Amino acid sequence: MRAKVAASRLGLAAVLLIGWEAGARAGVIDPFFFSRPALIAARLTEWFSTAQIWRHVGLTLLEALLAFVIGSAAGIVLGFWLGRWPLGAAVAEPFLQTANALPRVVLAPLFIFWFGLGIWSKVAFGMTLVFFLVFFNTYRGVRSVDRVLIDNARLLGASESQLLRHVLMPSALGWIFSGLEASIGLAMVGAVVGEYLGATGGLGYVIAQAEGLLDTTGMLAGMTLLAAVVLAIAAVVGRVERHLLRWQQPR
Amino acid sequence: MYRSQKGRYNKMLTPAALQFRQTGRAFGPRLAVDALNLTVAAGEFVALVGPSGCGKTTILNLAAGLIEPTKGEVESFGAPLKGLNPKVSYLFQQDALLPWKTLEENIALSATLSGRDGRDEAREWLERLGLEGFGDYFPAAASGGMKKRVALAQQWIPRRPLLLMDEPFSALDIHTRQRMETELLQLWDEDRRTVLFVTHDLEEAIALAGVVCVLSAGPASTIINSYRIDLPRPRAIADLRLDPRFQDLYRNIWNDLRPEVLRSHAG
Ligand SMILES: Nc1ncnc2c1ncn2[C@@H]1O[C@H](COP(=O)(O)OP(=O)(O)OP(=O)(O)O)[C@@H](O)[C@H]1O
Ligand SMILES: [Mg+2]
Repeated sequence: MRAKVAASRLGLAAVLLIGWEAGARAGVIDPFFFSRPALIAARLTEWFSTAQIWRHVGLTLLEALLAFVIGSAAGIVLGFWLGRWPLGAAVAEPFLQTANALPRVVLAPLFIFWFGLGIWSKVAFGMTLVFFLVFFNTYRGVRSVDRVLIDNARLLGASESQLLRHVLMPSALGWIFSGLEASIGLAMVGAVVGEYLGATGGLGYVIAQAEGLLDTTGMLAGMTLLAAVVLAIAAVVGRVERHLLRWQQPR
Repeated sequence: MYRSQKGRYNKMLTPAALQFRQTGRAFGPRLAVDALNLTVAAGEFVALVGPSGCGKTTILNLAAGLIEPTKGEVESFGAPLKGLNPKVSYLFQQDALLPWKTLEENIALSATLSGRDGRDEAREWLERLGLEGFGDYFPAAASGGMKKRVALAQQWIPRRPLLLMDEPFSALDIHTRQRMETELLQLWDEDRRTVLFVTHDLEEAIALAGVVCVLSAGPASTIINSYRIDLPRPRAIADLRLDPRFQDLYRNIWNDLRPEVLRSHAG
């Protein structure tokens, strides 16, 4: 089963790439607008032959990571807090809903205006994306903890912090992780969009520059690199999740 | 001598484990339980029987302090209940094992919560309940009977003076069920702690308890009659049903219970 899936995936990828390459060479696809895989691969090899590209990758990663860590930590803490405090949650709800309803992309220029062209404008922007997703997931996770588990633990003498550690946390973990997984992508989007709008380095900056030169190969090479980085981080998070949620029976 | 667990003095000197006085509980406009008067003496094994939905779980929740009465009051060991009752263990009707802890960790939960290492004790219990080798299973991989055993151990270990049990064996097949009833009586014989046992099965109530209280069909359910069950102990659960005294008791109590069951089906 697993081998079959892996083989099929590889096959599908090969068909898409070869079709693209062949189409471009046959003149069906215009390489000026769509480039082609061989050119993109060549560009990536060229980039990695100098150390320059690592600076851009590192910068984007740093911004995304900071946004991810700070944003999700804040989301988790507030999620647990309001999840256990109905009055606070009722008061905060309209504010959080309003803030969440704002199209965040329009905030990006504002953040550059406030925090400058350095990394912090990107971190702040990524945080606003990550925070709400993780917060709402955590909150929902805490609210949906089985009442009986809470009552049982309290009757057995659990304090509020023990309740958090032995019942609420593990129970909400599935929800939290589904929020975290989605927010890795968002943290990258935050970093890249921020860089795209104004920066001195980073993958978004690289892509924006290529775009300025109408260099589709450069743009697509930048995106490929971006996707690879996101997938690598997602794989790590997936590992951690599988370890922490190993009590859930595979069905 | 005064403190002897099984002695009669004990019963007269210690206040009742539970005392309901004209207690009522409504959910919104619906009165689930009303004018409930019930005394559970310390050291007694009391069974509550009643048709489905009459308010049995509600009574246990009141006793545990998980919900408050809307009328009257509840006292436990001489003190009016405020908030959670620290003197009870409660074996819930639903599964209450933590799914992310192994069976062993679940048994040791009360020890963990009080900062002790309960692993050795938990392993002893696993052995005693015939569950050696299953300690590192998660509840999702355990059978219904295994989970009930673990839950019983989890609640028995903290040695609270009052054990509340809500239809603990209803979901089990008849053989597992009789085995567990026997195990429960053996445990109970060791220290005769107070038990309030809820069931809809009259045979089970008579087989286990010293006192059987019959609840009327809801709404506004209340206790309509109580019976002392003077069958000698220790009791052999599997053969008890053939005992003529058992059958007499059954006939008597069933006369009270039958109209309530019929009423609950009609409503
Ligand atoms: N939290 C609640 N909110 C509203 N109604 C409730 C609540 N808990 C119980 N009730 C109502 O109170 C009545 C008694 O419920 P309870 O669960 O105590 O019955 P029970 O005797 O334990 O039933 P069963 O044998 O099916 O477990 C029912 O009519 C039920 O709908
Ligand atoms: Mg019930």
